Amino acid sequence: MIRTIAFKELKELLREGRFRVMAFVMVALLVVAAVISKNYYQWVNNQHVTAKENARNVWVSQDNKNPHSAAHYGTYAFKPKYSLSLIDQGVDKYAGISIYLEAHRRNDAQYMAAQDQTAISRFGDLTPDFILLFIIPLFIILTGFNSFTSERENGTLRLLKSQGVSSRILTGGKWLGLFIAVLLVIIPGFILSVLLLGNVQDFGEFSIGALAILFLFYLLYYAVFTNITLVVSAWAKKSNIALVSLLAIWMVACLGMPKVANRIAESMSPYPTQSQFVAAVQEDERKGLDGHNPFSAEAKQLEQETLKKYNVDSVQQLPFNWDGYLMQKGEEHTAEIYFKHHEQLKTTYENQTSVYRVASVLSPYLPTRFLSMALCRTDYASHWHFSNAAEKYRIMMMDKLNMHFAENSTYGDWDYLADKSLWKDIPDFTYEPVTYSQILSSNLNNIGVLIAWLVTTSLMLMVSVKKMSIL
Amino acid sequence: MLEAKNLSKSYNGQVALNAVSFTVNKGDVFCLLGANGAGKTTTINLFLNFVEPSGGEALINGLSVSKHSLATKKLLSYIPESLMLYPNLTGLENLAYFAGLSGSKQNKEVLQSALSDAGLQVDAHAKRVSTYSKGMRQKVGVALALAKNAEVLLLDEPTSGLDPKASNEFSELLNKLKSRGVATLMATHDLFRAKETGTHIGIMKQGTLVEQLTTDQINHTDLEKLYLQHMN
Amino acid sequence: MFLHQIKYEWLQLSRDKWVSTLLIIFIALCLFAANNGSKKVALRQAEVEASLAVMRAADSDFKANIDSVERGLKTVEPWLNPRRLNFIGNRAPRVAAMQPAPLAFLSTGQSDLFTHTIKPTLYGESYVLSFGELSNPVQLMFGSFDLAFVLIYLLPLLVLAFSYNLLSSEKEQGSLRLTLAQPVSLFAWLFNKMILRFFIMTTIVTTSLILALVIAGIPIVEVFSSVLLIVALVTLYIFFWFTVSLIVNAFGRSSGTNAITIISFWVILVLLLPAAISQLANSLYPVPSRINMIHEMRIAKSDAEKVADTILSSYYRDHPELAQRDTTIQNQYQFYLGYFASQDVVKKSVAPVLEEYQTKLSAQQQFVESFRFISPSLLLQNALNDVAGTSSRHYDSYRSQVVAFAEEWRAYFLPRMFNNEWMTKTDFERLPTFTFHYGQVDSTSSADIVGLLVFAVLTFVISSLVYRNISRKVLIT
Repeated sequence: MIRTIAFKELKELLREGRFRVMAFVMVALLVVAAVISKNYYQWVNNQHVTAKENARNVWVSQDNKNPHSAAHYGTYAFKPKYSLSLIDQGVDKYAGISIYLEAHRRNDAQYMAAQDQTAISRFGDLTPDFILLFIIPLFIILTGFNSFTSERENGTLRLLKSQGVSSRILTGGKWLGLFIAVLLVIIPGFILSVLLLGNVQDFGEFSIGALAILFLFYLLYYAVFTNITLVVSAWAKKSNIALVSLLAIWMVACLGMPKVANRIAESMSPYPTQSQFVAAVQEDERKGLDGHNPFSAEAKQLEQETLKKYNVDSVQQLPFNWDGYLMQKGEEHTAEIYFKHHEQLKTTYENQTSVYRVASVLSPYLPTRFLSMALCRTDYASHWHFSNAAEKYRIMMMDKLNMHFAENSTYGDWDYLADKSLWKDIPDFTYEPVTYSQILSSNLNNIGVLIAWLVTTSLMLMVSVKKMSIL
Repeated sequence: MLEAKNLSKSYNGQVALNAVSFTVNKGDVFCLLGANGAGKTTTINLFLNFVEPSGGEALINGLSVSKHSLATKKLLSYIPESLMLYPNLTGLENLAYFAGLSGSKQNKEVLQSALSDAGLQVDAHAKRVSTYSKGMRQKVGVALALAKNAEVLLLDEPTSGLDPKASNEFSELLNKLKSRGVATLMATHDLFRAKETGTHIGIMKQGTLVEQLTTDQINHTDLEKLYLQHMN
Repeated sequence: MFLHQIKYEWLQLSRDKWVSTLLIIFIALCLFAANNGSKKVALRQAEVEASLAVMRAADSDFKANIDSVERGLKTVEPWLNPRRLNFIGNRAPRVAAMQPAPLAFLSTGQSDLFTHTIKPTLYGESYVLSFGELSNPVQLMFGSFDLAFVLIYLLPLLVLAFSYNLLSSEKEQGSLRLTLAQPVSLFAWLFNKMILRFFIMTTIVTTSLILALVIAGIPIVEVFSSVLLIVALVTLYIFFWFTVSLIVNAFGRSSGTNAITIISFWVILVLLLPAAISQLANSLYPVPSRINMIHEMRIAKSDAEKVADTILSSYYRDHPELAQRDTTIQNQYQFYLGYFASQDVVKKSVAPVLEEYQTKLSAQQQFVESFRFISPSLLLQNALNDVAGTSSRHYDSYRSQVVAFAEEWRAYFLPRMFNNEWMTKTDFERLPTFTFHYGQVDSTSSADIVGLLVFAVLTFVISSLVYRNISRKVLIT
């Protein structure tokens, strides 16, 4: 019975010029978006691979020099791209791509792409996620808004009801018909993305399982929109009213809510500005110990403690170069300060995230948005993960350089030059991204909200079809 | 006043009207009879310039409708099968609006008396049209003809769907207009009304005017016989 | 005839509760958006003020310190001596602030990407100044609910809601037959219906704008010409969308089909085209690689640093005017002068890399910006950012003005250091100061308004042509 209705719905849709045009446009848009994204991805990825090699080469091919000069010269950590970012670029263009690793400072990622682009780019990019998140829901609405209203307007609903079709079966059939129509667009897109991703040069990071889970989340999202469309179609008296109401819902969910949530998040827990952040760090640095200032009180205290520990009278008698040791202690101290401030920043960011979570209750777009970028490793959490890894590497690198200086030179010997083999001894920066299971477990919230959306709208659908007026 | 000269119309090669000619003079009521699809509505649409003739000419007051569409429309008033007005406006406001569109701005008293003359009760004048019955809406249409001082009236099955009383009232209104010298072209299925109110009768079949006669030439029974004869 | 029709249209619209509901919602959205924008601007202003206040407080501390050191009331470590020029040049930087333009609340534009207070120091290298603002990238991605958003995205939808069934509803109601039996031209009649709605919309938008200005406390008289410009831009934009709707109505389809067609136009012009342009531009003419630039810069830098240590004498050869006048005294800034000289060498070798990058980047940006003539919404966005002072061009200019100021700052100290001078209290008044000049940014809004005008005229001409050749049968059946 359900199958008969679903089949009739599909047949009607497929015979309709409007649907065929829209479906074709959807598939075409997905293809175009995917192809453009793939080219862009490869272009960026090539740059990254070269840049990573270059950075290492530049580091390794330094001449003999003072380890601390090398530390100031520093090196760069580049955020790798993952092949799923081809589907969802997430916040990539608003988060920097490289982190400069130098002495005394934890730098934030620099050179976000958006800063080099004009304001046009703020409209968004024609990437698959743009189509998947914004346009396909609109497609569902435009395809299904008159599912019930047209039957009512044509009087066929009366005929159907007089045949003794239960509202459950009618709903099931309509739902399936509409959803299968969506699948007709999505499945080619999915197959295409598997093919494209399979063709991307560095295949290593591609996980078909992750892609399948991503696909599943999108299907949940579309099921929610299918439900909403049918609820409104059953409730509205006329097709026009159904269409206008659904468009308003789409506007609020996909365009309005994210911005309103932004506003709330910003006023509830504002981010410090760059200069506020820098000032706060400097304030703490000023109060604490300074590796370049052997006369500050904190340094004096450390000196006394160290002398006592090694049971000597002066820093000259220590078994290592006191300058190097002091510098390392200073480095550790600044790292702590940066850690503290980044933790505060992280708290702010988490507070903001919880505002988005609350807003998700009003917009199915939001949880899907966050899930999608998380799985594609282009969300802010991934960026944090990378930034933390880079900082860890920086601390290790500074420790090696300072300790080498301390252990291989004598006090006051600022002209000491380390052999260039030292640069090679410091391992290259390697980055292990967050695992998919970690991603899923930290996004349980979003998954829960999305499922709650599905359950609630399904219940609403059942109730509204039961209460639906036939005339 | 109203003249069809070899008026023809075909849609994509399908002939809807085939060289129809007739004249309606002042004070005449020309009733077009015929089955559905015989070309009655097409004839009226041609006089309204809603469609372009494929051949021949429709003339109002000697002016070609297709060439002087705005000038001829000043002279005519039209009442379709189901006259639809703006539901959010009152009967009086609708009348004022449409009368104003045709360039004849009237003061409120004139319009109200036109509505009363058309038989609409005074307490209905200020009610929104969404509360009106079909008969009441048709009366606003007649009032428009009165307010506009129309010399030509085009009626497309104006009484279909009206109850007998309303239908009778409508016929009386037509008689009133007839006595004022209005030339009326009416498409109808109602042989009885055609005989009662019409002065001339034309029978159409598949786009051709197969019979033209005056109502005083024939009685009701013979008219019905003649009509059925043509239809079979 | 015109006024007559307007009167009855107005009567009908005013009796439709949907119309007033939608208009009230729209005004509320405008005010909410304006409030958001004002809050953002207030934060930005407060940040600038705070930085300036901190700077002034520090200045008076330094002055007091100089005073006590000069009078021998206080001894300080040599590297913390406020009388030393290099100390002040590095520790007492000026705040190079970009004050918000008067109408900044209109559009956030690119302002959320960049910081508005930069403090170039004497030791720092101007070319590595970071202009990025610290922010949650999710916030940047979702964008802000500002007036520009309401005007660019939501306003067309409101226009479409008022006009998608301009003709089709008359047809569906059945009143069209009676109207067409009257001596009126269809296009004139429909155009009048549209004009009334158009006036309502422009009035609503203008009122909201003025209301927003009053609430934000911006004196309208001072920004009168800009407000006029915005009203003109928005008027053209509204007119454009109305005529699009008029054209779609001419095809005589049902209201539902009209709505879908018009929404598709909206999706194409407001969502898809801008996204496609931005993406296509990226692959046709990619933004030059920053990563590459970093690499080349580092290579140039490390090459230059090898020779930098031996550089001071040749530096004097290039700058004899800087040589110390009294040669009997050892210059106390000897080390720093060497440092600056080596810095210059590095800068000189890095400059071509940077310059090449900057040239490529501005060429790319111009290429992308020229695409804005494809969609009215891009034109409006560009013009609004232009008026609000938040466009990419404004931030480019800020960057170059700050870099120029950094050079000026250095140029103030360097000759004095070569001459072995001390910092005095009164010197603080003579320090170079930074003011951001909005006038140095080329305005594009006249091109934008012409672009929008072309769109409006084009659609108007198309609509009148379409209605001239309209098949009347479409309207009747």
